[in-house]
Amino acid sequence: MAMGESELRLIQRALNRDMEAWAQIMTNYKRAVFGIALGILRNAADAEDTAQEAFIRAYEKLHTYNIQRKFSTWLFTVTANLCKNKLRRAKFSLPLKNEHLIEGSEDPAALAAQSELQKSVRKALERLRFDYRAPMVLRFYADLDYKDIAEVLGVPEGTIKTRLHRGKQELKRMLDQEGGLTHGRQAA
Amino acid sequence: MILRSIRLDRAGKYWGTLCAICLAVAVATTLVWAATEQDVENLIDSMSISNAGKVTVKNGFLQGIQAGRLSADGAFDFLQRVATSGADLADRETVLVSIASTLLADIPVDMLVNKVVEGLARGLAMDVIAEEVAERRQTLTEVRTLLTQKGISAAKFSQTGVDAATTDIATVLENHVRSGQSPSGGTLLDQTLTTLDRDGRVSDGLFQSLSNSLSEGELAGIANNIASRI
Amino acid sequence: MDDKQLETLLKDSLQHSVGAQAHVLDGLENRVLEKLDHPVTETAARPWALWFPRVKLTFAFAGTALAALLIGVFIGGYFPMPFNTPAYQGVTFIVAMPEANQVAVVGDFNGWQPASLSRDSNGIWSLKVDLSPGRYEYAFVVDGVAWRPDPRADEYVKSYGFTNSVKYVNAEGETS
Repeated sequence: MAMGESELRLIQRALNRDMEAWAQIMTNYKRAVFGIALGILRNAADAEDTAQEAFIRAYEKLHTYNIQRKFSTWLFTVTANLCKNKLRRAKFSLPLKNEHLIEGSEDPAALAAQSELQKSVRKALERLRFDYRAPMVLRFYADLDYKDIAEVLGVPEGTIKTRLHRGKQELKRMLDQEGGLTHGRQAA
Repeated sequence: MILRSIRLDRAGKYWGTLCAICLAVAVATTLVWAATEQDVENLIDSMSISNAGKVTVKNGFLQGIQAGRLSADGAFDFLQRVATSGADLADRETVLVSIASTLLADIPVDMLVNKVVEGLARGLAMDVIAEEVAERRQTLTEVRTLLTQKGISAAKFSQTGVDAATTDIATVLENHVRSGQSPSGGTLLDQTLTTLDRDGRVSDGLFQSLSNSLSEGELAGIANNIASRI
Repeated sequence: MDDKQLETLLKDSLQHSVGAQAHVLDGLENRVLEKLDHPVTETAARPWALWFPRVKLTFAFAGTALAALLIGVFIGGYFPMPFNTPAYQGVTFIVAMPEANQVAVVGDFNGWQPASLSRDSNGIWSLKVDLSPGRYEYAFVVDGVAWRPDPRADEYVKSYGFTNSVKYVNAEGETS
């Protein structure tokens, strides 16, 4: 898909230090970038932080962006790498603490509208390992094709297909098993 | 005493002394706490098991230590745990001989050792544990044979990796049967590869080889054997 | 559930999660522009300098490293494992059990001997353990008597007729 004329011009303006142009690009992409980070990092505070970092990093490296590539893929690559690094450094307890924050700060109407099944899927996805979760977020949230996902994550396309397949198997298994387990308690 | 003689503006000297103390204590602790192969031998000699049993257990565990599959310290602790378990002597001997024989056959024993320790922690009788060990040992042996036939050995890949793969495959097959799934369900290969993929000890190269050489049919064969035993 | 159903669920669930949190994005553009105008240098803060103004960096690091070695040796002494594997990094066992008075974890990595978790004010218990890459079976022991699986386990397996939890640790640390 060829880049829109207007997007190309925005990028050129941003390269010339036109901050309004960069602001417009951020407005266009912030939800997608945040969504990817949220799916991978599993908490909103980290995701927002990462989204900011992604735009800062992307701006600073804009001169290295190759016009032949899709801008979105390039931007998502920056985002995914930041997420990976953050996961490596993050203390594991952080996601769980923020889970409580998330529950509280969600829009109540939206929360009520979410079905039990959707909640289960979200929780199962959060528990999935990074290698499976990242491609799934990129595919089912950001709608990227296999080739783009492979480019963003820096692994071969075949591997992406395998991981998506396995990720789905894992999710199905987790959803099946959840029926038999309650949180922390078991019938004596 | 020492601290008083250091002036506060010689903070470097303070830290240097602290480092030296830490180093000395760390080294001393290591020397005092670690069991040696000799300790392991002595412990086995002191056990109330048959002489033939002692020979096998000694040979097996010492070979395991020398092959890098066990540490002397860990072997000592495990043997002591079994020796002091208060279990029937014959059952204790059965378990130890079983594990030692597995080591002598160049097969990893992580799964067996873990099952023994878990069984003791759960308060299970040693004869129940012994049966478990014997059954799983059979599976490990069959898996190891399969891998060797496929040319997957410590000569080509690391021993740690091959041992991990052997253990993981055996674990998947055991769990599959024990959780009531049918060996002919057609999912064994997928489950096996998923587990191997998640195990950080299995290198990419080893994983590729396993991925290319294992077949559903062969795994199902071993699973069927498990089903007939339990 | 077939693949199509799962994929639809995933899309909906992900969209929903983002929608519910999207308000945090308000003003993001300004926040980023602010930072691009006033970059913060990474060498700014060294909070430890407040307490040890006269300590030479090398000695401080050396002291910490050796203290860690000492602690490592002591912990190694309490949980000797038969297997010659290098300890890697901290993996956290964590569970929410506000009603429990005591929660411990037992597993392959500690000879199935109870290691106590610490409780926080929300009733969440946790413990960080050094684990080398591999596969570990374990369980939580509640109030000294009840063995429970971990709701956040990577996998569950049958052992002696009971259900054990499984944790996988890959070369980069915990699989997450």
